[in-house]
Amino acid sequence: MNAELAALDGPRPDRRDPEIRHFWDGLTERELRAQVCADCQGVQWPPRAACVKCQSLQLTWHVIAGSGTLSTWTEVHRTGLAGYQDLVPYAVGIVEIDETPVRMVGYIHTPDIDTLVAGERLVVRFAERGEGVVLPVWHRESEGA
Amino acid sequence: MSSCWTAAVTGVGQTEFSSGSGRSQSRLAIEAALLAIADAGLNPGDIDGIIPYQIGPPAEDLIAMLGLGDVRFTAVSHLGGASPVAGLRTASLAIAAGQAEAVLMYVARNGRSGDRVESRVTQQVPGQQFRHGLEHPLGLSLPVQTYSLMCRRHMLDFGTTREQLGKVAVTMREHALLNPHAQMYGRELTFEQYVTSKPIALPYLMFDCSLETDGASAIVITSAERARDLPQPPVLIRGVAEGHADSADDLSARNPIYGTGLAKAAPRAFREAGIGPADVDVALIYDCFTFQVIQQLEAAGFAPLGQGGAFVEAGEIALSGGSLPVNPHGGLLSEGHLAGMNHIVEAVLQLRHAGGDRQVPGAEVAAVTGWGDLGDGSLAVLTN
Repeated sequence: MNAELAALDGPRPDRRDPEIRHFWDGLTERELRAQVCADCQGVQWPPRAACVKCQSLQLTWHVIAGSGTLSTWTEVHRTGLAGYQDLVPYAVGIVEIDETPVRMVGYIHTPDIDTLVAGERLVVRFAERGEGVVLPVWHRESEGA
Repeated sequence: MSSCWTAAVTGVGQTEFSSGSGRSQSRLAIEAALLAIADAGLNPGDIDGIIPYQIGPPAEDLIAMLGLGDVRFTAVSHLGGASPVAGLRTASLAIAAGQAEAVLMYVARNGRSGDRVESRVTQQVPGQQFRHGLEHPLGLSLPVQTYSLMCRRHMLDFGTTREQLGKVAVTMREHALLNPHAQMYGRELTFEQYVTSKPIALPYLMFDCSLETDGASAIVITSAERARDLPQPPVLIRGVAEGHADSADDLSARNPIYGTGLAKAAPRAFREAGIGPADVDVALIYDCFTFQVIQQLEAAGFAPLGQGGAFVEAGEIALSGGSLPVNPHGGLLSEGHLAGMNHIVEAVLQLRHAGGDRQVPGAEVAAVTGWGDLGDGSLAVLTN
């Protein structure tokens, strides 16, 4: 499973980024994590240097659900990203995470992009890319994910 | 004149638009600048303010090439494609405040033969840490991809159709066939050709995408008072505003994802002008992609939310028979992608009634939109 992404020689995240590194650290633990404000408890995505609701600088990270629904997507036929050029056409979109108000960009694994529908159920799986990078990959519940 | 700081566009100039200029960006910029300055009836030495585009030759290049001894005002808007329209306000404010008397603005690029427009956009959009940390590693990187996410959600919510997207592309091409300056002049586009063009980032096909263009566009702005003594009929800048979408630097949190800063900017600009969307005779819409026309028709108040597609399908944006002719020059989709500086030039030509075969008869009010980065919006109301 996820052999295609495991073999991907694509762009790597900057693991030194003070906010975003927590997301990638979580993935190595096979967890999806989002930023939570310690003062107002608001959950926010993408992660930022301050809480967008109360401007608190006290931000923590919580594990969020590894499932969600598909909000919108694009079927990519052309990309300048190394590695992904070998995967076209592929789907990438916005996933609405269950139980928490987080919407995040996600790569959607499916052999049948034409049949994707808005609102369908997705479940995250993890693809080990080596050198400490684990990619979140969204699979379709309808395909037995 | 409703605004105490009304300024005017007094000169316009453009190079040819092509897929290979064979010249440097600085050379293109100086060619367009000299044409615009001459059109304004001014000499290069009269220019004392410069507003360059955020990408391309900087003000210093033009200061040197124009031999300007003492330029006292420069500024850059960092709104991507919304910058030229926003620059109209920057220039107006500088002139009203006595900081400059004649301001030159320009966009110059080898968008086709040099660095592609898309590559530079990718490097300049805000929220670079999100782009590099949360999108590129997952396969999302180009504007055509992110904007197609908006397009699809709008299709899902309102039933916007492939036919409506195609109607935008075909209408822009029909307009370009009336414009000898257009990069696509003489090259017809049928719906059949549109719908069978290669997929880029579905729902976007190749002909949903604007052109990558070599060329330059420039304009000169002075006070409205001074413009009266210059040779061209002045085009008055009556209202200009910018706006930023919610979650301005990231699309994933924006809900609905097709929200845009133009929805905030447009009412401000129209209020300042004392003119409403219904009064507009010709609209120049920043058509980086087909759906972005539908999106901005709604955001600017020309069509109700969700009905932009039907508005287009009914032929309302066509020069021939439409209630709101959009982009008589052919737009970024078929004239060329000069970041919308060519939209301002076209608005000026229309209000001078110098539009030739593509002239909107009797045009008195033009609205120009700008769209940049992840949804920065701007709108200018111009009158003759």
